Amino acid sequence: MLSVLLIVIASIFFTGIIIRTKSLASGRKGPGIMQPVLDVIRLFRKGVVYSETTSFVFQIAPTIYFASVIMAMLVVPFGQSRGVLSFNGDFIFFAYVLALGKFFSIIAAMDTGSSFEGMGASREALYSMFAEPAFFILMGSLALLSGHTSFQEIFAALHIGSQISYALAALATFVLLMIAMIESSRMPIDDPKTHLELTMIHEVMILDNSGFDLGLIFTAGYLKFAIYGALIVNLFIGVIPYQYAIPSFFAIQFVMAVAIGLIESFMARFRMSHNPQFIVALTSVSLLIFFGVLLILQKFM
Amino acid sequence: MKAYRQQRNNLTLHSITFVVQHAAMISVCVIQNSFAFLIAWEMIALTSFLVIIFEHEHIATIKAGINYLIQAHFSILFLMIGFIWVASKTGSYDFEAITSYSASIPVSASFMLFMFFFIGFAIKAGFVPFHTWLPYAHPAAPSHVSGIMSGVIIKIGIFGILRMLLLVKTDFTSVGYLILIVSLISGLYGVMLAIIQHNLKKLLAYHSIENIGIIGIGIGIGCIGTGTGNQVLAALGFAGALLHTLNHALFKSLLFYTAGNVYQATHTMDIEKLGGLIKRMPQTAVLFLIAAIAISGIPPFNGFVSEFIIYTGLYNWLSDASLLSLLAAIFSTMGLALIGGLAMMCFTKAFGVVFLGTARCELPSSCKEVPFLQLFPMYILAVFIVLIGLFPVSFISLLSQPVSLFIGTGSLMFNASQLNALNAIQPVSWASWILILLVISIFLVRRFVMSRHKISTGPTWGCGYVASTPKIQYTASSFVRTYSKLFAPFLLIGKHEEEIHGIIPSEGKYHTHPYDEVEKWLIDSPLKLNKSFMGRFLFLNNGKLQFYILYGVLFILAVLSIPLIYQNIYSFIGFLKQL
Amino acid sequence: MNLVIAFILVPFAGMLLIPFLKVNGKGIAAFVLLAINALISSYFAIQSLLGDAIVFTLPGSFITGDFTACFT
Repeated sequence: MLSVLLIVIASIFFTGIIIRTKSLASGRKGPGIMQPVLDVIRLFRKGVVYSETTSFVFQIAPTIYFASVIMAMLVVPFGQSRGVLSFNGDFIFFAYVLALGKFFSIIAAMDTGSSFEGMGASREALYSMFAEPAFFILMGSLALLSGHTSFQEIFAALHIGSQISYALAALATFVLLMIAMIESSRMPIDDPKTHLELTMIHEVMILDNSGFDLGLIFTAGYLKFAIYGALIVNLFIGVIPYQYAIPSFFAIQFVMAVAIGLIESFMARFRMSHNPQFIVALTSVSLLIFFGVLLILQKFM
Repeated sequence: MKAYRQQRNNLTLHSITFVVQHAAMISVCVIQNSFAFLIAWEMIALTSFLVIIFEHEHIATIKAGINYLIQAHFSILFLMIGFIWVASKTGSYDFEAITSYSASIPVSASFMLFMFFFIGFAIKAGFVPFHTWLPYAHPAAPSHVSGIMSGVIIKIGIFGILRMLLLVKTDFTSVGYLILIVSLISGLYGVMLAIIQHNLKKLLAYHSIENIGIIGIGIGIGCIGTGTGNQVLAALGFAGALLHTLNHALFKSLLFYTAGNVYQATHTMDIEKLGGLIKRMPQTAVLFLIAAIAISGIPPFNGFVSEFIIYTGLYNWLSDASLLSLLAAIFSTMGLALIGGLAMMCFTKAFGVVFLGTARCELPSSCKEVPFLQLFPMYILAVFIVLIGLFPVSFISLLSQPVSLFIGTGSLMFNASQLNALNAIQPVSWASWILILLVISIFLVRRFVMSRHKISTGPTWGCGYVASTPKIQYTASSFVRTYSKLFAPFLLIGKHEEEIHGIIPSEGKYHTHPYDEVEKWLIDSPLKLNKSFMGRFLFLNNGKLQFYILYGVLFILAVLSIPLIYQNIYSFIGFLKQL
Repeated sequence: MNLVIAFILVPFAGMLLIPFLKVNGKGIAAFVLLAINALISSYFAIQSLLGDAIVFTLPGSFITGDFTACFT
């Protein structure tokens, strides 16, 4: 339960901090940290415009997308405390329930009959397909290392002791961070602030959403980021008592948000054609983690 | 449908073969005698051939049917070799003889014996590289037959493999690794080719290969579990494989039946020409959507449950000690994850292009929802898909009997409540329930909130373009263009392009013809070689009657003379043996 | 055992019956016969799933020996 609470709180600030960092880095004052949440609240109070081309799929898709993210949030633990749902293999459920949301957001984009949204849908399908093996290998390596197969038990049993395990933790952080970037469509895979529809991925898929639906999609995006942030935090806080763990949770989330803001300020998005290579490289990094785990367990005789 | 009804004789033959086929398929599953088994197996092959060529006025259908017939007989050939091998050594056609004989011979020989059976059944099941008949036979057959073929007939191949695993006593670990590798390749290759297909039924046919791959991964890890004495792994592997077999039968038949509805309404299977069918046929669209989510292995439907069990098996396997099995486990996991992602891509494409957006070509005006009686069986399938997704425990407990056959000793009763690794299934079903409740409650909140605001409709936002036509929509080819460029080394896509040029531009054209790399190397090239070799003997077939009579006379002379020189041949062979 | 014989006879009944029916009748007859066979086989299948193995032997020729069939 604790994790849900923390993730919700973190998600309120997270995107605001990114935007604020970007504004400061470009020499502007920028909006308040609560601005994204206020935007969502404003959206919830607005009317809706539907395209004539769309069907009921377009209307239920944001709801299902949002519900899938909530479900994913429910299985994420926090240190010693379990998620609301915790069972053996819950990370499989985590990945696949997020895939349900993606499935619906892709077909909702196809539903509008717009070529741009089709383009975004095609890219989203491709990139999330490439990101999946990396996540499963990473979780497999952690499962092998800890001897457990549920999020909470894995994270609770992770002991960062030797030097090689520091390296592994760093690599795992990198992989999770990059998966978070792909899943929430941020730099360097996707640029949420780009001007041209041709170069968007996630933004272009939701061009036709408005009002409550758009609010749901935005909220789901904020939550998704905080969920992955929580996973990264979990890599480190295994057995630390709560009075240190909770502040460090917020500290790490804050550092992550600032880092993302800085990256987005000083870096350009990758070329679309280079994205798949980058994401496949992520899979090899997670294979590297797996071999590292084999080294730790001394499986190479 | 009208056109179907006018062919009286054809319908008679079709109905009869359908009944006979059904009886033969059930017989295959119960017969314990290899002689009778082969007869029933042959009956399946022949009746399937007859039901496939229902639309025999099309040359492509006849070709596909003959293709199937030949490959089915290759399957029978391999089975025959296996059965006759055992029968010639033991003198008994009973299945028990296989067990006793394979236990008495060295492991390498029993492995060979198993391989004959495996190849024979793998041709039927559609494992790569024996899959080439599937993508032809399924689109050529009428849709209810495709549903049966994909849902049941290829499962008979899986049944055969499982049956032989129980009968043949051999080194299960190496058999398991072999099946695992073949299945991973089948799974990946099937879905990779499925994505680039333009024909809806061909796409589904390639997807059957993928799902056979997933089932095979389950069987593979199950065998390895049996071979290494890891009973939990064996239980998980076989349970996942068996459940996925049932699941695939449900959702793949549903997909083929809905594809049949689409064909009936639009008279085309080319997905580039379809679009926007959800408005004309909403019920078909919903049924297709349910099956598409299930086949992508996404919760809360049944595909997720079986894939979850297989994943659990793979992660359980990680606690095994040896390096080889660890590598196999992690690469299988990677393959399975990739298959899941690719399947999602494939079905978002299929559903999105066929049912969503607006029609890309003019649809016939008669295009409307099919009658309820035709939809009713599909609803039954859909209900089972949802039921297995929401109440997996009760279905898994039904598996305890068959799975405990494979685990063997019986010390570990396979039971959802007793087997620790499987106790996750209960929370998974709770999670599915919560997911559905969450969706409903959010939807109700949304409805409540939206009822107080203005809802209006307008055209799709064209990013500034105002004169958008249906042709501007993303097509299936454009949806997978980046993918097909990335996977180009594995795919064989023929392109036919006419660029637009000149002051007064002519019409531009762009066609792609996906083809199968395995088919090219395994079927087409040997056939070509065979043809060119046989072509050298064409001079014999010169069309002159005198020559044919001469051949007859020569043959009779040869037959008559063999007994005369038999003694000489015999001594010659004896002489050869002395050498 | 009677059920088994009925199962074997159903396809033959189909062969004799279906050619003499009208177009709609062909479909219905095929469906009914399929349903009968499905019911018979599922009766045995469900029993064996619940744990009762059923074995029956049909007389065969001198080449093949008797045919055993079973649901296990």
